[in-house]
Amino acid sequence: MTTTREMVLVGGVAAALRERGSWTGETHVQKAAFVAKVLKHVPFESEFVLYKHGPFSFDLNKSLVHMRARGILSLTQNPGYGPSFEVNRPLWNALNQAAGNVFRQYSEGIDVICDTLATKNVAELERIATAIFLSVSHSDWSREELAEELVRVKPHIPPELARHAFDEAAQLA
Amino acid sequence: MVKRSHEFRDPLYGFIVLNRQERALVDTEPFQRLRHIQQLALTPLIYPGATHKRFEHSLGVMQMAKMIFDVVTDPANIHPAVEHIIPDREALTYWRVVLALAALAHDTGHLPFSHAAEKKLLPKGDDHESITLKVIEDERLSDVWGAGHPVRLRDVQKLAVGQKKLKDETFTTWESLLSEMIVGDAFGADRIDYLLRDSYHAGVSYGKFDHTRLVGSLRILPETSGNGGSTEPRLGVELGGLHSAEALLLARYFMYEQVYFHPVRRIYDLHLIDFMLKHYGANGYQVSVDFHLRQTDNEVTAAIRSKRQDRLSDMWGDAEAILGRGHFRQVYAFNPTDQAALRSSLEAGRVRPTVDQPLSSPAYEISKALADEFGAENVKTDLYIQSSSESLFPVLMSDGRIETSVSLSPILANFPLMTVDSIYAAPSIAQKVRGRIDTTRSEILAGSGK
Repeated sequence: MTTTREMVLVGGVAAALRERGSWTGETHVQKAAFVAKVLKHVPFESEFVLYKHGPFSFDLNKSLVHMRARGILSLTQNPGYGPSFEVNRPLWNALNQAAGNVFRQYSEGIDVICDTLATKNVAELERIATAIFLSVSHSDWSREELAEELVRVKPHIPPELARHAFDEAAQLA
Repeated sequence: MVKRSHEFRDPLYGFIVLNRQERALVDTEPFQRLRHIQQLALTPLIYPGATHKRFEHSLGVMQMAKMIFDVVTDPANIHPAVEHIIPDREALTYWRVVLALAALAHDTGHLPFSHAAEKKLLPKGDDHESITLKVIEDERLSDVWGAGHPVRLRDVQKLAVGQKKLKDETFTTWESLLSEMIVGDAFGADRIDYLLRDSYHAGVSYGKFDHTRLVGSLRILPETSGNGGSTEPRLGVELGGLHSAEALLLARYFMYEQVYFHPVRRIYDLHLIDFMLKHYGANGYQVSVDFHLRQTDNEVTAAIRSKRQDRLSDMWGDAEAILGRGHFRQVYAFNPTDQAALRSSLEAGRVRPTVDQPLSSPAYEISKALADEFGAENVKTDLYIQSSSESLFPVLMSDGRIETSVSLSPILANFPLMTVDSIYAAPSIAQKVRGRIDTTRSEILAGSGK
């Protein structure tokens, strides 16, 4: 079961993405949470591994299901795309208050990340977040080595876009 | 003459044929142990036919995984956009061997009575998959990996448990796809087999669906046609198989609602968990292969029967509940109106959640209020929310475009989540507890109760 604190942080990311015009599908929430955790030290309990579209957390996937079941998130469907999340603001506010307004402590970092990631599409998020994951995992590798590794683990990404992803990742760091 | 292949008769697939290497794995002690692990724990107490074991399920998963592999790697079925990740013929032969062995081995780590007591009995961070990984590494299986087509042990482990349970391993796209063929949430052979098999043995038709149509339509597809979406390869279906995919997910939903979440089955699980916690004592269930292989349903059942004769034992109550049908009675079940009432109270701050605990549910709040009056030992709460929701996959249209499943299927787009939110009470006080819930529920959920 997901803790209230985790639900506040995840819901906060979803709301911040939504406010900035993001589609706010699961990939957006997953990648924004990962980048916020790694670059802004937002204390998500979720662990991330390299999996679906890059860094992915099975814990966070479960949290999103739990948050839907408890009415904190709801799903909107639109033809041609995957579902997107909407946050139940009154309930999220109550949870945040009960958690000592934990979101305020991390909102600045989350805002910075969401400013950049909100308007990215899934393919861009996949590349940038994977680049950050590999940069952190192999901090002593060269940019060229990292780009080669990105193509090895995600062979559907062309090499030139893989290299560019590390430039974009560097701007976020 | 030495037989090159071996067969098992199977009620779902007719014959399951094994080669010598697969037979070598089936003949090992860890695999034979699965003959003594019920697939559905104490479910036969409600559905008497559901006495099937992990043994035949594991054979079925191998059969189904091979069927999926053969369809999606058939050159006629390979989408041009994913050609680059499909290995050459020699490597495909290797991976088919690994897939079959991993499918056979995937459940060897199950505790007695399968999932029932796993979370409570094992140390934090361990589960049946972590024991499966140890079993695969055990010397009792070491001859199998080189018995026919030599395979790398790590490859078997990866496919048997998937990325979710091997967080420190990097999976290639191809390896991820193969593990999805066994343990995937959407089209994994494990899920397909357990739904068909549980349904067959329980004698209910909810779990049936057109699995041959579904498997025949499975394809490895880019997730989208591009245009900003990811083109990462995933398991999806041709349009003609979409209704079978819907039927699979509906079958799962109905099997959960009618069989797996049957209220009496759930309370038997809770009694079994309490019994097993005491049975294994302070040291819990040891996560060593030697200890694990000595534990089956038979040893636990013998202990339950023994403790039922000992009224002074602190295990007598649960033994009697299981064998004497003295189980706790359901006194509260999930209700959407109650959920909405609690949500309003949470929004208004009248009910405050505990920060490091799971968010409140009606059963949680009501049982908390009842515990003082009736005693925590007389009231059990059962809370469960499904752990993943996988109804999104690519669909190959007849014009070659890729669409998402949820954009084509209103059923998949609006699939309900499965939850359990129940309270049970000791039989002697169940009626009284029900009455108390009737008179205090509104107050409790409104945040104005004690």
